This record gives sequence, structure tokens and C-alpha cells, in this order.
Amino acid sequence: MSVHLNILKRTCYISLLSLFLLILLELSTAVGMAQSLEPVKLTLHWQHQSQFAGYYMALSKGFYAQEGLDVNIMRGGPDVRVGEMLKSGKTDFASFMLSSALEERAGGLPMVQLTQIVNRSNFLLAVWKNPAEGVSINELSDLNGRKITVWLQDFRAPYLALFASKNVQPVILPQYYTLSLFLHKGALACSVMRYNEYHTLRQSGLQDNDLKIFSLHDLGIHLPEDGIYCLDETWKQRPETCRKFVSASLKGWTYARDHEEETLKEVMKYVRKENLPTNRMHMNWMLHEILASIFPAKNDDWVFGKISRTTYDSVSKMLIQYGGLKTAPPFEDFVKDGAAND
Amino acid sequence: MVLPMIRFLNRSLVHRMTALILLGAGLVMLMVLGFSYFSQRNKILSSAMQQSDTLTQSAVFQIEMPLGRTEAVVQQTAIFLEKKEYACAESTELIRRTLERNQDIFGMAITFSEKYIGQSDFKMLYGWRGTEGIQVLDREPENIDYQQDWFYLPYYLQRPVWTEPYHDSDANTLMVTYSFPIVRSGEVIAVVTCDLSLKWLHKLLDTLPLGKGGMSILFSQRGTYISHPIRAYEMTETVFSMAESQADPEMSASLYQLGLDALGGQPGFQTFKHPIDNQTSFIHYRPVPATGWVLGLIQPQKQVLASLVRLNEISALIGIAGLALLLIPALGIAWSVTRPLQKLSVAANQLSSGNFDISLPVIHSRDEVARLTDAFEKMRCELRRYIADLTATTAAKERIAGELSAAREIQMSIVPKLFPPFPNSPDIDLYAILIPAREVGGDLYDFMMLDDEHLYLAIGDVSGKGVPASLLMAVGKTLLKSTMQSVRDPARALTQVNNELSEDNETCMFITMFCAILNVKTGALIYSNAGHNPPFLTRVSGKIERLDEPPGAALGAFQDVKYHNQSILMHTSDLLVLYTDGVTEAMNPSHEMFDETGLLEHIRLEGHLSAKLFLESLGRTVNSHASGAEQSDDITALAVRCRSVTAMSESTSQYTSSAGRKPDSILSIRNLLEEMSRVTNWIEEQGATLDLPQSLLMNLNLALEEWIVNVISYAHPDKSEHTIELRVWRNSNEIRLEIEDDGQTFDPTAMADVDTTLPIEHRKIGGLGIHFIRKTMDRFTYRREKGHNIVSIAKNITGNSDNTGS
Repeated sequence: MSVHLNILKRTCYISLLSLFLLILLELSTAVGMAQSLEPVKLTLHWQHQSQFAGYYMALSKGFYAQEGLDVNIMRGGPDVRVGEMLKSGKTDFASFMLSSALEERAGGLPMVQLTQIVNRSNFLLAVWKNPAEGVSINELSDLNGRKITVWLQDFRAPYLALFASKNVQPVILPQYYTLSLFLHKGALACSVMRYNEYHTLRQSGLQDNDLKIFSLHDLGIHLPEDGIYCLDETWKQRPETCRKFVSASLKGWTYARDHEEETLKEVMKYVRKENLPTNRMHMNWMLHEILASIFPAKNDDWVFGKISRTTYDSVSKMLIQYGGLKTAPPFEDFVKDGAAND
Repeated sequence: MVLPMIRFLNRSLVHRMTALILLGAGLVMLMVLGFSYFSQRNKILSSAMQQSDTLTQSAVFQIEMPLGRTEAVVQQTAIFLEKKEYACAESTELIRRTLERNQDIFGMAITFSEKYIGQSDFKMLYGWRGTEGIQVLDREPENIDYQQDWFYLPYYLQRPVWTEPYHDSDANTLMVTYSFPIVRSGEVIAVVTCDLSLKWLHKLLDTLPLGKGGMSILFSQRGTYISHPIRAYEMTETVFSMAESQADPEMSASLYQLGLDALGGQPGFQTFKHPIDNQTSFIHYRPVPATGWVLGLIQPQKQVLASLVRLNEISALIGIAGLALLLIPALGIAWSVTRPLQKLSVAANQLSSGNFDISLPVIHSRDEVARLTDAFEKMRCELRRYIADLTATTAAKERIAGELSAAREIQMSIVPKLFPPFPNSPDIDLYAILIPAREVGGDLYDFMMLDDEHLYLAIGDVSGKGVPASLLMAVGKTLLKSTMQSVRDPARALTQVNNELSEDNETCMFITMFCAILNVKTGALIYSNAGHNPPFLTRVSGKIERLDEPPGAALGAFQDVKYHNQSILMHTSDLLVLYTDGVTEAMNPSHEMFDETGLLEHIRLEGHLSAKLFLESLGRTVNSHASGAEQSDDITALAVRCRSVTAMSESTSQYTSSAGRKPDSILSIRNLLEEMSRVTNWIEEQGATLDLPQSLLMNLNLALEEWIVNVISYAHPDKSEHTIELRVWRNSNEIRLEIEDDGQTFDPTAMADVDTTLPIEHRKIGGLGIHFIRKTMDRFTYRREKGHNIVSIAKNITGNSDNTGS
């Protein structure tokens, strides 16, 4: 009996010892890794979704680590004020819509653009074709005097520019996080993103014969969207880190383009973790559309990851005119690190 | 699989009958099952439909109830607020009480719009069920509050609205909010809201009696799943995103349409392919009127029909068990039918091996097997009898065959078959054939040299066939031959033979016979015909003569028939053809006879050949004419020719016919007794001329006198004058006389010899004279030729002449 116990004890000791050694080894490696990688934070300007797939892939495929960066991706959302996070140093990098970034800059936040990710505008105007008996909307001009909902501030600017250019004067109601007023037919049109709300409408049972879609990009309103920004100070102090971050991010996007299925899986991981009310098909659509607005097709005139001066100039002009933007910095002051495409 | 089965079935009647019975019963069972399945299927489906519809209605009703209560609460509150300004305390109390009374309601709020803040002593009152009970808070509304649907929608729509369900993180449950705008003079001054927890929803839907495999889904008017068996789909997937995720575009489109139909505001029912398990399922959907949600109850068709399928399975099992049970009586019937058949087959096998004494199985029933057994029994008896008969018949046949062969042997052994028959006389070209028929016909031929010069020829045909015929033929042939040897006269020989044969002829058989003597030196042919086919004589010139003087009756038919000699002269190389009716009546398959024309044609074509070749070719010709038809009668023919005959002038031929040359002297007298002296003188004259011994002369004289007196006295009943001619020949060893008259036929040679033992007064008249001639002369022949009686008497004049006259 005692012999057996001894054997048992000995086995336990050996096991415990091995476990301890193992943990020690793991820790030392982790510490070693941490020491070698530079911790960096990226804050997204909305909740996790395919819109940010490139960064997820850059992280999961180790592109950031390859550049010596230990990136922490943090979600945005209605409850997150990305500008403030940047200002307070809670994040090193942030993604912004170009228009939002310009607004932040005009508001006094000294931030610069490191890369222009989304070059094609996804802004659409979705219109009920036949909102009621005897009413039918086919042209933008049919919206004259009719209630529509449009996002606020800088998101509203391109629509205002559109209406101005087409000389249409609808009654514009605010549009927040849902399309519910439009769906309740409290408005005849609403603003939607091609990669997001447009597809949500379809997933709500609306079909092509229900909707008339006006694409702002197609109607001449060019507004580059997502880009990566940091404080001017960060850019000046750690340009290498910025460059590495941008380079790895673009690599992540390229990987996402080449591996849509794998990317979708990765996106869904984030979505599920956050318990977000979306579904795989929607994320799939979003990924597909966002990639199409990032990587230029044959006929597109933009360059992946860059913004042209003319676009910048016209956008700042439009925002000043329609988006209530007070002032816009010169192109060189705002666009850094090769994001410029002169 | 099929082939071994067929082989198995073919091997035994038991297998086949059993299989047929089971097959029949199985088919009936299948039909019954099928009918019951399809008739019940519709019933079950419609009742399931009814049930499902009722269930949907009641579930919708249950969902509607808390919604309705919530709506009522909110509306009441709103009505109060619309009419008067509530102070914070009152409003707080109102909220607290409402929450207390309505357990479903999680929270309640009264929110003033931005513009109307300040109208009351509170801005926004929010009451909720916290961890410490109901709490009501007065707080400043944030921007985000106004941007939420619960405010935003009623504010702009200016009508009460149910928001889309949402997940409330505070309550950690699904929530839905009813918002009621308080409108004053066209402006929304505040919004009253109640948050309804949907915790009960799952419980309600999960406890619906849907049966196994059934499920309920609830989705919002946007199609978003509020409740789904797969919880992860709730608030993330919509009916349309589900449709979108289908790989099959057809399935995707049909699901999308189903979603649109369900959201159409009307209850409905559809059959569809469930995307989760790919099973054909039924869905009953019905809108929840308050919120525009849609409740769908889904039941797999398989499940709905499960009871029916189960029932059918049980029926099928019972049926199979029944079939298995049926196997026993089926086998029993089959065995009861086939057991006697098997016994019968054993018996039949023994029967076939020749055992006719086997006893057949005893069948007590009166069915087909029994009848078959009876038939077998009958067959067995018949067979036994038949075989006995057959044995007897075969024995008889064998005997007959034996007899036939005996007959044939008799026939063939009795005719001379050695050719050439006379090797020492090369001038005689003689050949004969006898081709016996299967049933011996009794043909015969015969020939023999009577002396150096005289050739005896005969051909005959016995009436009837077989052994009797051949025996008669043997008798006839032998009789004729021996008679001819003694009388050397065809007519007389035939007469004698006829008398012999017709006496006691109980069988009534007869023989046709042609009989002749040919002098091979002179070519003189003396012949007599007893009812036989007339022979043909082919002259070297090609002319064919038929020896068709009226023939006498066949031998053996009548007694005391007189036959007469005829004579004709054959020249060198003339061919005499004797034949039986087997030649001319040989038939071919179409019953055409070879006939005399065929024979004549053959003679014309082949008459120049040697007798042997001629007859052999005749045999072939007849055979080819028959062309396979069975030979019904013996085919017999005899041909003879003399290659060297002493020529005689045609003018004297009528006299020389019997002797071959012209007589040494001729005397003609009238039929008067006075003329007898002339005869005596003429004889004596001849005796001197021819140097005849006196004794002979006297005998001759006496014999002549006997005969001529006889002729003068009896030959001419008309009493008119006739001529009698006498002719004499003196050969080296013989003196011969011929007496010719034209009187009535009388053949002295045919006369029975005088019974010299009788007293003289009892003896026949004239008989003595003939007796005398026979005694004294060496030869005494008679022939009738061209209506004339010719009697020929001859006496050898060699050494023994002295004996004559004794």
C-alpha cells in the first residue's frame, strides 16, 4: 500500500515539475516576443465588420508582427469617439472617413492621413419606386419637396452636393442608425452605403422592383472614404512605425482580396465575439463591395492606398460648401507617407 | 438475381405455386396498403393543416395578448398626458404602478421632445425593473435617445409604433418597445414608451405542441428572426438572408418568395424545402397584427405523415407476417397437389423403363390429379396391351418376312441362273433376268436344251404373291419342264400341265405361261401361250412382231383346256423377247405404267445389243421409269437369239416352219377315204426314194393311215371338200412327216393315252390309233398354225429302227 502511494507521489511531483517548467518556458517566450514587438493600437470608426477586414487579416496573418508591431484593434461605434481617443493618445492609429477626418482636423485635432484605403464612394440614395398608390419616383427631381432621410454632417455633404448639382430640393429628415423611417415609408428615400445598408434593405425583403438606387459616385460625387490616420505628432516622432503599420495594413487588404473566403471567416469571428446583429451573407456582401471600392478595376482612375490631390481638393471644397466644413488643410499638410498620388 | 430466381421457380411446381399464391396475396396486400395510404394521406394532411392553422392562430393570439396589453397601457398613459400636464411625482407613480401591474413590461418611459423640454417639471422619466425592484429615474435625455427608433419613429411618423425587437443588455433579454407620440397641434411634444420583455416568447413558442421535428419561427416585419430554433439566427439572420445563403439559386429564389409571401400580411400555407435539413416541409404562417411580425409553424411532411407511415409499416408487417403464415397452407396445397404428381412421375419413370406392372399411386380425391392418374392407368393398360399386340404383330411380321424371303429363295433357286447357259453353243445368245418384288410375285422363266437342236423356253407368272405363288411357280415350272422333256410339244405340255394343275386347285391360283421350242439350227420356233403376255420378236430389219395369236387360258384355271402350237421362223440374229407383266406394268410414282410402248421403245433402241446387255439395260430403264416407286411385281424377262440359222426361202417358210427346210416331198389329197390309196402309194414311193427300211415304212404307213382316216372322218363337220397336205423330210437320222389340214382344232397329242388295260369295248374311239402312233414313232407333236392343224410325226432311223412296230 505504502509503496503504491510513494509511486503515486513521485509521479505527481514529476508531473508538477514538468508543468512548472513548461509554464516558465512559455512565459519567457511571450516576454521575449513582447519585448521585440512595438505595441500599437488601431481604433476603427465603426463596429467590427467586413469594412475593416484588411486589418483583421494583417493581424491574423502576422503581417503586423512581421513589421515588428503588436497591433491591438479596437472597435468603434456610436459610443466611441475616435477623434478623442486619438487626441488623448488612447489609440495610435484610427480609421476615419475622409470627410470625418477633415472635420476633425478643422475642429482642431492635428491629425494626418497615412493612407487612403477606400477610394470609390459607396454612398447611394435608395428610393421607394412606388411608395404609395399613384406615386412613382423615377428621377431625382421626383423627390422635390418630398421627405427623405439623410445622415448628418459630413455624411450628408455628398448628398447635399448631389441635390445642389441636380437642383433638387427634398425635405431632408435626419437619419441615424437605422432605416426604419424609410422602411415605415415615413420617408421616400434614404441614404445607404452600397456595402452595408443597401444590402440590409435586400435582406429585409426589398427587391430591385421596390427600389430605385442612385449612386453618388456614378452621378459625379466622388468622395473617398476610409483611410488611416494618426496624430501629426505620431507621424513626426515614429514615421517608421507609421510606415510599417500602413505597409502591413495594405498587405492585409491585399490578402483579404485574394482570400475572400478565409477573410470572411475571420470577420465572422469578430462579429460573433461582439454578438453583433448581422449575418454571414451580409458580411460577405460587405467584404465583396468594400474590396471593389478599395482595389481599382480597369476603368477606375485611382491608385490603391493613395489619394490624388484633385480629389482631395474637390472633396474639401464640397465639404466646405455642403458639409459645414470650416477649413481644409493643404494637401501636403494633411496627406503623408506616400498616401499622396499627385 | 432474376435468373437464379426463375431457375428456382422452374425447378418445382411447389415453388411456383407457392410463389404465385404469395405473389397474388402480396399484390392484394400492396393494393390495399396503397389505397389506404393515399386515402388516409389526404385526410391526415388536411387534418394536420387544420390543426396547424388552429395552432398558429392560437399562438398568434397568445403573442398578441401582451402586445395588446402593452399598447393599452401606453395608450392610457398617453391619453392622460395629452389632456393635462403631469408632474414628475404623479408621472413617476404612474410608471411605478403600471410596471407593478404589468409583469411583462420591463420598462416604461415618458420622454419630452427637445423642443418641449421645460414644459413639465421633468424631462425624461424612465422606470424599469432593476435588481432592487422597480426604479424610476428622472434624467436628461441624451442625443442618442432622440436618435433611437423608439423616439425617432413616432416623432417623425406621428403615430404609435412598435420598434424592431432589440437585445437589451441591461435586462439581458430580447425587448420590443411600443412608442406612442403625444401630439399637440401637429407637433410631437413627448413620446410614451413601454419596453416589453420577450422572455416569454421562447417559452410560448417552445411549448407549442408541434410534434417531433416541428418548429416555430417568428420574424419581424423586416424578416429578422425574433425566434428561431437555432438561437444564433435570432436578430442576425433574416428569412431573406437565409434565402440568400442557399447555394442553389432555385431554392434561394423560392425561399425569398416564401419570405415575401409570409410578410404579405395574410395567413397562408405552403409546402417548401426546408433549408436546414432539406426536407419537404409544410409551413403555416400568420401575421401578428400589432407588430407586423409573422409566426410560422413548420412541420416536416415526413413527420406529419409519420403516423400514417407507421400505420402502413405496421400493416405491411402484419401483411408480411400474414404472407409468412400463408406460406404454410400454400406449401401444403402445393405439396398436396404435387405429392401424387411426384409419385406419378416415379411410376411413370418405371413405366418408361418397361415395368408395366407397377401400381400407380391411389388418389382418393376426384380432382385433376386423380384424373391424370386415371389417364395414366388407362395409358398403362393400353401400353401393356399395345406392347403385347406389337410383340405378336412383330413376330407375325418377322414370320411373314421369313416366308417372303423363303419364297424369294424358292423362286430364285428354281430358275436357271447360270449365264451364258450353253457355253458349248456360242450361237445361242440367251439371257434372262428376274428381279423379285418385295412380296414375291411368282414369276418364272426356264430354258433347257432338249437335244442338240431344240431349245426349250418358258416364261410365266403365277397369280397371287408370296409363298403360295412361289410354290405354285415351282410346281408349274417343274411340271412344265418335265412334261416338255417327254412330249417336246409346247401345246401338249401346256395341256398336260394345265390338267395337272387345275385338278384339285382349291387355291384357285393359276399361272400364265408362254412355252416354246426353238430349233437353234433352223430358227423354227414352235410356241404355245397360256394366257401370258405375247412376246416380241425383233427382226434384224428392225421390224417387231408380236406373237399375239389368241392365247389360251392360264394354267390351272380351267380343266380340259386345249392349247395349240404356233410356229414362226427366226432368222439369224432375230431377238425373241419374253417378259412378264412386271415389266409393262411397272409404275412410276404418278402411277404411269411402263407399258408395252415403253418396252417396244426399248427394244427399238437397244434390240441390237446382246441378250445380256439388252436385258440389263431393260432392267435399268424400267427402274428409271419407276423412279423410286416401290416395285409391286416381279420383273422378269428372257431374251434369246440365234447367231447362225440355216437360211430358208420365204416362199416355203410356211411349210418349213416346223422342220427348218423344205420337205423332200409333198402330197395333197382331198378329204375322201378313197384318197387313202394315194397316201399309201406316196409313202412307198418315198420309201424307195429315201431308202427307208421296210419295217419303218410300214409303221409310217400305218401311223399315217390312222391319222388321215381320223382327219377325213372327223375334221370337217361341213362335209365339203378340203385339202390335206402331207410332207416328208428325210434327215440323216430321222424321217419326219407333217400332216396339215384346215379342219376343226384337234390336238391328238393332248389325248390321254389309251388305257390298254381296259377291255376293248370300253376304250375310246380313235384312241388306239394315237396310241399306236405314240408307241411306234419317236416324236408326235401337234401345232395349230394359221387355222390349220399340223401334226408332226418323226421316227429315228438310227440303229434301233428294228425295235419299232413291236
